Amino acid sequence: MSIRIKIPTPLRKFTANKDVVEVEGSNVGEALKALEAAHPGMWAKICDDNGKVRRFINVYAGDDDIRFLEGLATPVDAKTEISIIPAIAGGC
Amino acid sequence: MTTRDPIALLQRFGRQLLVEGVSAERQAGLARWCVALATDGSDSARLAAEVAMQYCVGAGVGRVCLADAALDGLDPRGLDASVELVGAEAATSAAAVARPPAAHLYFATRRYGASVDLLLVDDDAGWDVGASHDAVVATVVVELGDPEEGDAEAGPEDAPSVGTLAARLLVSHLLGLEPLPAVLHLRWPDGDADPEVHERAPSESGAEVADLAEGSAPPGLLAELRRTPAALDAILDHARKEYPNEACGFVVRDSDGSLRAVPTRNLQDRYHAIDPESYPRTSRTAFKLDERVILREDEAGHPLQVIFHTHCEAGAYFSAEDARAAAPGGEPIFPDAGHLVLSVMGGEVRALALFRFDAASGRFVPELGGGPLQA
Repeated sequence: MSIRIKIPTPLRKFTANKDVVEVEGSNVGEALKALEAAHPGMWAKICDDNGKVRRFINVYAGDDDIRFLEGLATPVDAKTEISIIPAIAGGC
Repeated sequence: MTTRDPIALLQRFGRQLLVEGVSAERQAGLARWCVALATDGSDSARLAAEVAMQYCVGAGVGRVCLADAALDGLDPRGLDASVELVGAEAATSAAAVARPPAAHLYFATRRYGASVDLLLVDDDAGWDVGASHDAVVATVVVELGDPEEGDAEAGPEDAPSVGTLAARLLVSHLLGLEPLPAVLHLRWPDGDADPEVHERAPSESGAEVADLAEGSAPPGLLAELRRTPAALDAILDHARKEYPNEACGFVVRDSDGSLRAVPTRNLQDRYHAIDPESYPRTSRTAFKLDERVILREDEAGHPLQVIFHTHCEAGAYFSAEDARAAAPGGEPIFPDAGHLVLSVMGGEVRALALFRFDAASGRFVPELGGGPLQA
């Protein structure tokens, strides 16, 4: 099933400047692995060595951060757009 | 006092700090200068400012402006009766404060020590914190160690050293001993070691300083915000309303070219609740905003200009955590955006500063014109 993944500007150097990449997968993790296969280097930018989404990256499935869903196991279908969004955060 | 009268020179400087390599006559030229001191109100910053004042007076600076209520009670005339004291009430009046030439030292406390922003103002311009950006010729930032980076923790006990260092830099510059680069970073790994100096760009002839003085370099986002009361007031209101939690939001440019503030919710507590290991901080000391609101504005043709957040009971500095988040792995997410940080003390916004990513040094440096917030 073809899933659309929106790529943020800082990561477009991995995707030949494409802002949307279409991949196959039935959940977010599979889709991101397919993204890595097509555009090597993406996975490490999104997830840490333990396979957890990095603190300063958000992965949205539709309108929700997958941290509040089922994480990388969050199911997706052709209607779900995945968005990778750099976090805007900080603290004193 | 005429600077050529040897008796007067002896009286004025004979018992005071002498700067190596500078004649007494040249040092007497410092008497023309006014140094304005301001703080974020914290004890460490006050102490640093007091020590800096002592150094400046000792070196022969002729006029001192205490531009901050936290400095009430200090009196440089106790150190030297010939020093002219310019009162805090004059701080918003460029003409009164700083009959030029004038320089400005601002001290702010950070969580683990004190930081210093030192702004030097050229001879031809009056000084006021909000309007002097065109006249500032150099910025010096002193950073103390960051315990999160494995440095020794620096605390309030380092404030006197910070005050001395800032004043020494200022005096060296006023004496023309060394042209300062536009931005000079000093990193202080621990309280005992000498600071490491990181210059953004070496300035052999002072040409860079001259460029800045001509107003070609300052991008002026902070100055533009100050000229847009609707946007700045919305930010200040949000900062007060969210206290004691950190407030956050951003500023976009509308299609008519004007700046518009978009206050947003601080989502930090939501993330802390589901994953305290990855998000150990709460909204008292951290912020996380809803990035999708920015994307929606961007898609609507309103590009991001500034991301803002507050530090509660802390100074208006760009923290290590701020830098890590804004440029993970050293690469800025929004290289063109400014980062506005506001210091909120006891519910009142006390100071603000805007930082931009400097590609040459790989650091976030303050835009000119930050400092205490004037009513």
